[in-house]
Amino acid sequence: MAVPLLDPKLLATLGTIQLRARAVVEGLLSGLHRSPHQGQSVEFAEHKEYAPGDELRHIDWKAYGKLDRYYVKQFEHETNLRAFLVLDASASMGYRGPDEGLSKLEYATVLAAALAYLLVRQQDAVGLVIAQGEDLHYLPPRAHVGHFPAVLSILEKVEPRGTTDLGRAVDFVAEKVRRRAAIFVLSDLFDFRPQAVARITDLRRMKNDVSIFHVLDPWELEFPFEDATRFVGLEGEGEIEVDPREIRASYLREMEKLRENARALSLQADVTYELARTDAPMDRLLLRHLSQRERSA
Amino acid sequence: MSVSFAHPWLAWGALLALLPILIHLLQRRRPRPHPFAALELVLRSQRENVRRIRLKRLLLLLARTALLLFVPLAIARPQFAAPAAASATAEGPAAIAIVLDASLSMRWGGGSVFENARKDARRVLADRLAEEPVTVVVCDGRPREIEPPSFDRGRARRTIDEAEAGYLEADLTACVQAAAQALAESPLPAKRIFVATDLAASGWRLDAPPPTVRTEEGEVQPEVVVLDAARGEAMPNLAITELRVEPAPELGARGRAITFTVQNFGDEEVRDRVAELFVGEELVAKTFVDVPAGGAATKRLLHRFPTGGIYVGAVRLSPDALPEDDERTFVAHVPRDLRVLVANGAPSPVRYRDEAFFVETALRSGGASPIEARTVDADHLARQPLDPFDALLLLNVRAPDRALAERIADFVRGGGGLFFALGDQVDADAYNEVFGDLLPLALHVPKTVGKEGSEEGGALFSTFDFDHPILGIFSGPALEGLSTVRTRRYFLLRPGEGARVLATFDDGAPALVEKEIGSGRVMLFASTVDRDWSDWAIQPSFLPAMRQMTSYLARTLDERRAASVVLGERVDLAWSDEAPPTAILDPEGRELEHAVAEGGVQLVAERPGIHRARVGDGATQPFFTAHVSPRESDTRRLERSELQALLGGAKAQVAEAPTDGRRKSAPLWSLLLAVGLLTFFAEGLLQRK
Repeated sequence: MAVPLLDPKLLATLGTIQLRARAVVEGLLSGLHRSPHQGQSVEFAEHKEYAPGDELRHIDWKAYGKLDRYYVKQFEHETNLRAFLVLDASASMGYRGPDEGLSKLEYATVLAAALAYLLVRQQDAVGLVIAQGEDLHYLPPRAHVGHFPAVLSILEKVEPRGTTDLGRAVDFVAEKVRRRAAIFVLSDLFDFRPQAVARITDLRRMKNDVSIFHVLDPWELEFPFEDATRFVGLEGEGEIEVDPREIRASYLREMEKLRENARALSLQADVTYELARTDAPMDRLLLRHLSQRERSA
Repeated sequence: MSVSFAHPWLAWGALLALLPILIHLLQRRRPRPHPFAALELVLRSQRENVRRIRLKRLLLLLARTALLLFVPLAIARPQFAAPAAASATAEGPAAIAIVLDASLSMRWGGGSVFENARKDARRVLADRLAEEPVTVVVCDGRPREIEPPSFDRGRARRTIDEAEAGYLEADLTACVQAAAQALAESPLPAKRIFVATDLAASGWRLDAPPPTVRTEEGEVQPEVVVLDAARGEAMPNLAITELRVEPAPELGARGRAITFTVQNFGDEEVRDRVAELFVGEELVAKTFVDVPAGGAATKRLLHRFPTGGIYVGAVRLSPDALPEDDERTFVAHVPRDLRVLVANGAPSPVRYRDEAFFVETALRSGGASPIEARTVDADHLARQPLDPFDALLLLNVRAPDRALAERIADFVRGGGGLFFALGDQVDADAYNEVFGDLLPLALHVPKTVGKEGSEEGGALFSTFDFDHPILGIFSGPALEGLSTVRTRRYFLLRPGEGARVLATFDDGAPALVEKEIGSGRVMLFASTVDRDWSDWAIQPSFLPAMRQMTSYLARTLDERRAASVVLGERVDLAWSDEAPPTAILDPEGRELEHAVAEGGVQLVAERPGIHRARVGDGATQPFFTAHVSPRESDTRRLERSELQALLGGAKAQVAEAPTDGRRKSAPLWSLLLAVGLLTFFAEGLLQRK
């Protein structure tokens, strides 16, 4: 893939958030992914020079004896959160509008990598499901830091193919999730079979924390075509010649209906829904999403 | 019916209509492909709109084709041309005169007939070729200077637009002939006259020759096209054609009979038409009128006026399609009560021998007289105050003393009237001495021309001044009662100046003379007003003459002149006051042009109704009433064949609407342009949908 995963600018932005507002990012991520078994154990993380207000019981007396300075032990919570990133890599996700930019799949993989990075950084177990019609590729969740390169390695190799089959992907994930988990679905939701989108919300009934990133290209959202065009389906639907101006109003109504259906089903099932435009800054999308999760927690 | 083009080569531009079709065919190549993920949504939208899209595409193709077809065609100025089979006019450009009838009858139907005529005139003007000069003649009864034909279409159109149907009578025969004369100014050999009129027969002189145009080749007959503004419909009309206001003695001195004639100019009998008599704005009498078809009916309405004075009034019919002749106004002069002092110079216990008997009887008789006569013996005259009286009659009175004579002279100079009747009590020298200039002419000597008691002999009245208000009523058959008066003895009068001789005896001697002194008037009869010297007192003319004379002396006779004039006619109206009126106002209060002539004014009234005169002090008083010409009320129409024959037979044509023989065409370009514009906007609208 030409576009590097985890764009340095994006990572730098996210990193800035961690560095500048640790309380917000770490605490937020911690709060958002609060484990149902919170407080079972903590692990020592690092020392910090004592400052007024720190708890005296956390002073490392051994270090004082060696260095003649007061250091305070800092601990990190140990988590057992399991997260699944479900990436729709069907052929329709390969669409890129005439303007230069990321295809939907490229955008979704970057977004998935960013999420994986954030999760791994807070030591959550991250799993990956690549859905490509009949084919499903699965990387089981792991919590250690060395798992992240494995995730990146798979994402980098993903190519769009096959049809969108949300039901099959949901069934697969449901099978793999044995206990409560966070599930992130990244898809254009172009599965027009009845109840296809509703199947995603079934995962929420299994007590999982479900988020849908509805990835769409601005040309799909706005349909700004002017000249007569022969549209060719990416998943074998055939082709059609139309004057886009003649059907624009009707198309926009259909698109709005699609989005509104997904949004309504998500709201109804307490599933977080995010529209991910491929021309929108990803950091803002993530921050908005995390903020939304914090509010709903 | 065929289509012709003013600019045929521009019609080739219609081939542009092929462009949309060509573009459509060229665009049938496959558009470039575009892989698209949301194809399902595109398919759904296409299915939802497929019928609308097809219809829109079809309409767009039609609109574009129509736009590119109609606009070039419109620029080529096409027109439908009808065959000119029914035309009597020739092809080719001609000098054109448009005669627009603007007479009263054109106001029929609330002005709809005139508006038809105006439309016809506009259409004739619009249909002219660029090389055809045009003149417009508005025939409304007013004298107009007719301009030669010109190419100034704007001026011709303004003349048509500004024309209004008036109240006057128009002579269409004269107008057409005047138009023909105007056409002589154009060098074009063809001459054509269009006449937009209602075909009312009253507007044409049927005995006149057809119009001719004097050209270098001699007199030629122009083509005449008469456009029937009434569109072949009859124009029934009911009109008041005559109205008289006369004394009605049965109602007393101030009773008046208003007699009016209603004529029916329609083909159907009119029944129970309401006629109302108004005095001022008060309805005082009402009647119903039945008028046979083409006939007339006369009605008489009575009204007693409460006091003397000048009254204005009107008789009004319930209005029909031409309301201007459904009302006739009048000015009624109701004389005020007069007080007359009669000085009896030869009283007698026997009434018929009494000097004043016949005069008293004449002034009081009938009960309808507004004259109150008081008789005193001449001897008691000196004790009588004169101011309460309007006139003093001295009947065979001896010459009074100077004091009384002076009082009488003052009375006359102050506006009183004085009448001398002579007799055996009169001494010529004494009269001349005492009355002096008060006498119209000095007395000379009595002259006897017949024997007393004899029925034969005696002088007859010979010459009369019928222009005088007193004698004006005796013109015609009524003269007999005056011309048979026999006078056996009368005073000869000395020649003099300042007197007006109203009547003479057959020997030329003045019989009745008049003189104005100061503000008063003096009259003298050279004989007696009893039967001593003359038998006038027992002649039928005596009573009206005495009453006229008394009223004249008291200056109430002038007020009785209630002129009624016909609109459009130049008339001379008498004006008795010394100072002429400062202005004459028409019924709408606008000043009417008039010329002051000796003893009156000369004017032409143009609006029906009461006209008022403004006198020196700024006050106005009713002066005369004007009414429309009964000829214009006659809306019976000429047969087309009659009119065609009148205007030159085969050279004339009568049509209900402008159907110019040469240009029986309907312009099509404006319609095409309108359709082109519509399709242009429709195309834009479709594009946005």
